[in-house]
Amino acid sequence: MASILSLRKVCKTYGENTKNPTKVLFDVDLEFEESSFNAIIGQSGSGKSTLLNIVGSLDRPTTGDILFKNESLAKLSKNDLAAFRNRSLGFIFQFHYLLPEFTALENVLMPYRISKQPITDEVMNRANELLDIVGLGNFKNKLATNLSGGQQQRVAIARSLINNPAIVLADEPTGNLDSDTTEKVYELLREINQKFKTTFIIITHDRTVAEKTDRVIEIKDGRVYLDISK
Amino acid sequence: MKEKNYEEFINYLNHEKKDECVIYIMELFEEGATVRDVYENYVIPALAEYECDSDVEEICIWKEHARTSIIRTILESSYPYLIKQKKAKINKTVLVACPQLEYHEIGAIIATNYLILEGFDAKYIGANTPNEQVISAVSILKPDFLALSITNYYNIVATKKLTEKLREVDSNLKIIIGGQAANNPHTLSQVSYDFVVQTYADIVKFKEELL
Ligand code: B12
Ligand SMILES: Nc1ncnc2c1ncn2[C@@H]1O[C@H](COP(=O)(O)OP(=O)(O)O)[C@@H](O)[C@H]1O
Ligand SMILES: [Mg+2]
Repeated sequence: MASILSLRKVCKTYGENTKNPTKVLFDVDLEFEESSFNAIIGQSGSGKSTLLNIVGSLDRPTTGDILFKNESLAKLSKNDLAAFRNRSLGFIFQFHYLLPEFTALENVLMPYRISKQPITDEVMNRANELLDIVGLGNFKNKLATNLSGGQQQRVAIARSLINNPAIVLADEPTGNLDSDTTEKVYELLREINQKFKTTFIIITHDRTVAEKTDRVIEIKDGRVYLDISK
Repeated sequence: MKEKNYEEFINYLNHEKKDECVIYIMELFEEGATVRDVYENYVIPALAEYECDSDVEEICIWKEHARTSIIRTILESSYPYLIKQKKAKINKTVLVACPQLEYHEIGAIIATNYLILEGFDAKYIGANTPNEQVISAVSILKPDFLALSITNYYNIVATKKLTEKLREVDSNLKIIIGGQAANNPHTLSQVSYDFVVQTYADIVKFKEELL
């Protein structure tokens, strides 16, 4: 399998130029394969979100580099980085950040509105298809506020896929859901992974989710403590 | 004898015919079969090669449970034969356990019985054994070896912590790893262990190297 993403000696220090800099990531080297389904686990405060934000180019490493399909991200300008993010990455967070006054469909299309790209028929079809896939075919025109927690998270999943990203990064996507809904959301992510060959990197506290992935990486005190696969 | 017989046995098993399965195996023992033969030719393949013939997940799950339950009865019923067939004691103690949240225990039970057959003083302390209890058993029983059986690779997460703790508690303890999770070398490399042992042949070789 080809590598889609590599981290090379990634370090992160918060407040570098302040009196109390805190180093939270130490020389993280990781390699992710195309279409793989990965879990990141670790105690709270261990550096998981910091790592995912760096992987997602929402934040830059203090030292070290990220390679996407062997292209270094360190060299990209801010604008190029944003373009790369829009084109290739999808994000799912614990709190879905849907806009309550918009419908499910409008929320799924939001990345297009924000980046002022035209909503073509093709994009519209894709948004509809994604809502069907996440099981919300009958709720497309409902306002986000009128959907349950699990349904809102499914809208967020559909939204993360609207650009057909190569990689979806998820930070505790089921952290806020009950165990039945967690199971359903997980199954959905797995289905998408198989259907679209999307690579998934999922931070989770949930053993039932983590044990069904193909690989588990445990972060401890800002370092890769364990890295196992099936 | 094996091929044809196995089909007949599997046919009973596929229909959850517990009495027929147990009688079948007991007859083999009465005819002089060894515990190793029965495990290797009937018990292990019955689980390892199990493929559900239904598309309905629920059906597959209860069928798997029913099958496992019949196999357990066979394993327990084999014990008197094991007592008769075991080799001379070699004065080495092994504690066998499945780590925290590992519920697959048939492999661990079979491994324990194999070790006993080869003259080890082996004790099985259970599936899903919390780390503290493994540590307690090791401190009290002071075995020469602790053998951990891990099937689901996720349980390597707990096993890594367990083996690190065990190294602190007892630096003389030798750790053996077995089970399907040990088949991935990279995953295995994440834990601290001394030996990997899987098959009966491995156990024989392991014993030869000890003596
Ligand atoms: C029976 C079974 C169960 C039973 C277990 C009953 C019991 N009390 O043991 C039950 C129903 C509980 C079960 C549950 C689950 N199971 Co299950 N189960 C199986 C099945 C069908 C057979 C396992 C077995 O007993 N094999 C026979 C034994 C004899 O073989 P063995 O374990 O490999 O052991 C041999 C060697 O490895 C070695 N060995 C093993 N340990 C040791 C130790 C030492 C010291 C030594 C020397 C040797 C040794 O000796 C044995 C003899 O050769 C397998 C399928 C398969 N292909 O294996 C799935 C399988 C193991 N299960 C699987 C899964 C996913 C699960 C569940 C998560 C399912 C779920 N969704 O809930 C749960 C998890 C439970 C848990 N948290 O631990 C997966 C594991 C995949 C993975 N993650 O790596 C498998 C492979 C099925 C699959 N293809 O997906 N399961
Ligand atoms: N923006 C920030 N500024 C300073 N420290 C931060 C910042 N974000 C996170 N941290 C610190 O970095 C460490 C790792 O945090 P985080 O990556 O959120 O961990 P996790 O997601 O594993 O809980 C924690 O000690 C946290 O307090
Ligand atoms: Mg976090």
